[in-house]
Amino acid sequence: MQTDPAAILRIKNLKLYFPIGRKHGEPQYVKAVDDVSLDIAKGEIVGLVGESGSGKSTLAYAVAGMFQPTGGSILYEGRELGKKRGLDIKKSIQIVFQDPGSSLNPQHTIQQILELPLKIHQPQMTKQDRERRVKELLNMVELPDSYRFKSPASIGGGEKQMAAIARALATDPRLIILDEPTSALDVSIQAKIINMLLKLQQQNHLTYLFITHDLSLMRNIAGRVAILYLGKLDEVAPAEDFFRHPRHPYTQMLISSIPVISDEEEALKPARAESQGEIPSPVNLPPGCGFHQRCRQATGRCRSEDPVMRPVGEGHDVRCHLFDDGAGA
Amino acid sequence: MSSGEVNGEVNGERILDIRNLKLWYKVYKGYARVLNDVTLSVSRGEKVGLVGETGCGKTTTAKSILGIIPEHQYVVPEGEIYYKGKDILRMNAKELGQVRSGEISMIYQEPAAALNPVFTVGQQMMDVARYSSQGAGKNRKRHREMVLDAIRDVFIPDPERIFHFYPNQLSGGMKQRICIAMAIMTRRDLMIADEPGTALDVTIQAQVHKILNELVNRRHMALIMITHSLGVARELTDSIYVMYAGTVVESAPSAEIFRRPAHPYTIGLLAAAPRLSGGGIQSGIYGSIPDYGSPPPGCRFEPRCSRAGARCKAEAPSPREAEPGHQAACFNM
Repeated sequence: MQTDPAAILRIKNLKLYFPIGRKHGEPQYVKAVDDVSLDIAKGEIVGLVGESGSGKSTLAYAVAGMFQPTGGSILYEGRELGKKRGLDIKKSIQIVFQDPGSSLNPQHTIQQILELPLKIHQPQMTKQDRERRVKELLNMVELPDSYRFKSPASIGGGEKQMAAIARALATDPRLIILDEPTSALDVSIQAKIINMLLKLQQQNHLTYLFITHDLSLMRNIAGRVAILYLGKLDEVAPAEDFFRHPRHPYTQMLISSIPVISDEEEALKPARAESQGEIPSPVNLPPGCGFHQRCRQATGRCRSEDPVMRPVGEGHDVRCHLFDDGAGA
Repeated sequence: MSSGEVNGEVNGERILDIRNLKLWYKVYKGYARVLNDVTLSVSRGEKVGLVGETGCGKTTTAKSILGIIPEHQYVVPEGEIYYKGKDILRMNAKELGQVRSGEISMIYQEPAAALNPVFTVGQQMMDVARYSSQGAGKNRKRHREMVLDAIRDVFIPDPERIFHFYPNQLSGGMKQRICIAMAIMTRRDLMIADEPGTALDVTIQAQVHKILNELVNRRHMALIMITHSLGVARELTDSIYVMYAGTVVESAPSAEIFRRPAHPYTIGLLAAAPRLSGGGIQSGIYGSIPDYGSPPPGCRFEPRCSRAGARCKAEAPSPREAEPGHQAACFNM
């Protein structure tokens, strides 16, 4: 894989294993994230796509510092993130969770929720300054000032998510991890939040790691897309190339499974990539490629040997034996 | 009235006919006026999509067809639900039981919640065979055959093994297939599927939809597909009813809705959906659904509508024909 000197975040061979007891004396692990390497450039929106159980949230939480990696490293602006993170790092990496209903404290007002990061990261701020900043944050996410005095329970789901985004913005972060921020919301609300996120990204020169299972959404926001399957990256490519020429059989299956609303989109679906099989349990994975049981093009080699990432085009990497000779088939 | 009097459709006999249905839930401060003039009809072999966002009354409509909302929780101030010419709302318990066990089946959104965790798949399905009006008495062997056939029909290999599984031993996609198997095990004329793929991953959802579609076609059943996704409705249905705040705002053959949407809500919904072909996401629809306790007196979409005028505030529009076979409830088309 190429390395990008402008990378704000560099994930190198990251592994996250969770012990789940022993079987026949052998310790068993769920390999939630297994040997993932990904660079994110400053000002970029990288989309991380995967089905449930693919390890996308675990990866996000590791970047946010909520899990300790089992192996590999995460570098932020060239500095390795160790066990203890300084306040300055915590300040610049923020996360927005999927369900705003449970990520906002129901006992606090929006004012208190937005004030907390300010109290921690800018203790010198006076009460008046904080109040001004809270109003400013609410303005950024297009909520009226009066919402300061409301509790999360009294506002709608979309508005709650906007408040959660405002909280993430409170510390002036440079990297924001968005873990399915709109998947609990209706499309009409989603459109509004996504457009706001894109505007904020431009205005504040933010970098987003955007996690979702919705590829249509990804197409419209991400500059680069990474596909995660059973804890491993299968394909990384610039969004345009990714949707025009998906290479990995799993990516093709994913794209062809999406229900779409126009013939123009229908034409983008790869033919002969109909969905079959199910995602296997991440415990005791079969040897070889994790996808071989569902793959129409699997060969004997796929059953015994796990492929490695190889470049097949400009910034386009695929982990599949079909591309081992370097040919961009 | 008999179903024969209704004007003939391409697919023949009209089996379900909901007319101006209003359904209010009893809440502590009076009534939540949820369903407001739902008119919908389904013919034999027809696949109908009921599309709308959270809280628009899709599931309430489905439940009212089966009569499974507890009686003390609601009132129906107006409207009829004719099933094969008989009004479901005025059926007695025995007739209603007949409809539920022999005429209409339903698949729910959450397969994990629809299956009983303490009985095996086989035990639960045997129950359905026994109590359905077509179970043919106490012949256990015959019931077992029906169950195994149904499991085979949803493309699960090795039905004998699955028969002895508990639901928690199955993946989400498998559970949903079992629910479909239960719904098609005995002959039914109408299937109601309430977001059957929403809780599943997109690749599994595609498989479930394919199975459902094949079975409904093969058995010539009518299907009501409830979904929040216009894409799902486009793939699976012949005609689409778009619901907003308890009202059917637009209804048309599926292709028409996408080619020439007429109601501002449908247009907004289509604009807000992210496209696989890119091009960014257009603006969404501002605001949220009205409070059902005191809904707007006029058009229920008026507070969020960009085209709304004075008339929309005062008067509720009734469905008008935008084109032949394409109706929308809006004054400003």
